[in-house]
Amino acid sequence: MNERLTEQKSIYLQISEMIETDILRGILLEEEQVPSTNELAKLYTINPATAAKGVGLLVDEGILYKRRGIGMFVSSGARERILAKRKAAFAENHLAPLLAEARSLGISREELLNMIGERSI
Amino acid sequence: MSLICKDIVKTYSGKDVLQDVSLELQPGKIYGLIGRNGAGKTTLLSILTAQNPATRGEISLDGQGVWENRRSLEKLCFSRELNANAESGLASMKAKEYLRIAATYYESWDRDMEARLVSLFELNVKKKLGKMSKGMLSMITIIVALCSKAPYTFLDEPVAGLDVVAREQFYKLLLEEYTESGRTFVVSTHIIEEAADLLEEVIILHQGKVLLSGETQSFVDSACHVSGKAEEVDAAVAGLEVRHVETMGRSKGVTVFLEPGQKIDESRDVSVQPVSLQRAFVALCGEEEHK
Amino acid sequence: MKRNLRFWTRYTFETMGVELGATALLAVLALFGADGLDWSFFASTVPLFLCISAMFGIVMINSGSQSLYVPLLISLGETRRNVFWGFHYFRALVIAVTLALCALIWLAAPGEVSTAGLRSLPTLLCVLAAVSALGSIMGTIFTRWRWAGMILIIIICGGGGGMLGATGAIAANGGFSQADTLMLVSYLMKTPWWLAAAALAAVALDAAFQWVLLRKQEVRL
Repeated sequence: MNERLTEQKSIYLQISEMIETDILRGILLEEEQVPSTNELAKLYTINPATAAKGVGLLVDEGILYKRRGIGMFVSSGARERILAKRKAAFAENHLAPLLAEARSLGISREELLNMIGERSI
Repeated sequence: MSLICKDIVKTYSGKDVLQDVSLELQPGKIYGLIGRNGAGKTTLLSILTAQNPATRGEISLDGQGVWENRRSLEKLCFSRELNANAESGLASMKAKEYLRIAATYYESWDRDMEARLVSLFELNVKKKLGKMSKGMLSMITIIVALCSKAPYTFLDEPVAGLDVVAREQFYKLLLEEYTESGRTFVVSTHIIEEAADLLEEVIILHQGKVLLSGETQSFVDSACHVSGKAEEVDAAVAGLEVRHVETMGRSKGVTVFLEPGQKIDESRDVSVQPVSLQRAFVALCGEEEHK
Repeated sequence: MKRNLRFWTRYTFETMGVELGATALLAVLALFGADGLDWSFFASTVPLFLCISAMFGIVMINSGSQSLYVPLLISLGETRRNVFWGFHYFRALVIAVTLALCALIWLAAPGEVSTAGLRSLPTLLCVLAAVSALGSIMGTIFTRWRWAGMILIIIICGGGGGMLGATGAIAANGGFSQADTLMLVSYLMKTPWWLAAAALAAVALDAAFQWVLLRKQEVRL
């Protein structure tokens, strides 16, 4: 939370990703309440409907759940679910562009693997 | 309880200022009304609130006509740009007086909010309207709009003359009031990018016609900026609606608007980037379509 | 409608305030030329000043404010119909209160002048109605065609003021013959039919004129 919004990606996607990141960072713990859509809207000065869409995405994915009359909560197992989701998307979101860039720069497979070897994960 | 605008035509001295404008404003949303100067935004807002008669067409609220209908009119508030130059009678009226009259005519006027906003904006309401700066007049407009508590509130260029800090205050106030009351707001503004995140739906008016009316997000998602080597770009966007072409040497950048189902040819060596509401608007209304 | 009437009633009080102020001023000025401060002075001058102030007030202030308040109220969401009625209600109220005050003064200070005064009330009503109709026609013209309205106001107010002044001067110098004065007095005592008809016509004309233009008026603040 409290990151700035960019125009590079739909706002509601940024909202859901920020909440996910906060869950991973332990800022939001499992079974803890998440800020309401109105609070999110106020924080980022965005339309509540947009905030709701971002939150709705996470509810659909089972990362958040709703307690009627109270609000949105982080599901148990949310951390694992987010990690799994991001791992699966890692190849698409990060590897593919990396390989494309390497290709356009003419970096060979060996060079690439060496570079990775030089940097520890 | 929607506000429906059907086939509105407005003619001034033989010229059609608004043509076949049909809109449905649903309750509980924030709409943005954007368009170039002279597109007809103020005229449309005046007609929607029965302050000016339409040449043809009808406005109805919840099924009931709006013209000369007090019951409908008390649910509408059009806070227009105040023009208090020396000629207008308003110039010698004190701001306090103007607000008092407004409070008389809006049944649910919120006196506490009025006091709070006057102090927040540091307005001297004893001053005559003619002696106020553009920014102060905008603040008065904002106060009337927010304190009227009208279910449908229309603001015409509410941030004209306000510095950036005051503008941000306004957006926050608008959002606060919206989330608390669920009132419908229609904001006409030139400062598009600042307000973009607040607008759930956007209405684009161009030369008196409604070019687009729908979710801001869908509109923005349908546009993208494609750039790269000119031949690649042309191939990637073949058959799509292309606007706003920029070229520099062998490189080319275009803004395309995708219809549902259309896609950019990703096999081409081009960069595809999202586009902001403001850029999308400029691309759509700034020039003619390139074939 | 209630809120609308509240506005116009308040505006009536404001106008009455100005009217009373002007009356007081004229009365103080007249004091200097008076023979003595007694009820008959009061009864003969104050109602006259009240009516004069009312006439000037209605004609001058309201021509200008009509062009302001009418579009203003429409811009705040009032119907044209209600604004029209509100304005006429306001005018009728100002005239009624003015005449009521005159009547009160005459009732409080019995005497020849007072009796005559009370009997002249219908004529005064016709005169005030006609003048206010005139003022409002000028106001309507001013709202729609600024310059024409301005010129008209200057001519009529200037002309009216000039005429009053001239009449006063002639009267002071004994320029009116016995017959003239008798004729004028008879008009006051018994309202001539043509005066009543003219007043009625003026009011009707004003209302019609105002409504025709108001119906489709655009708000341009």
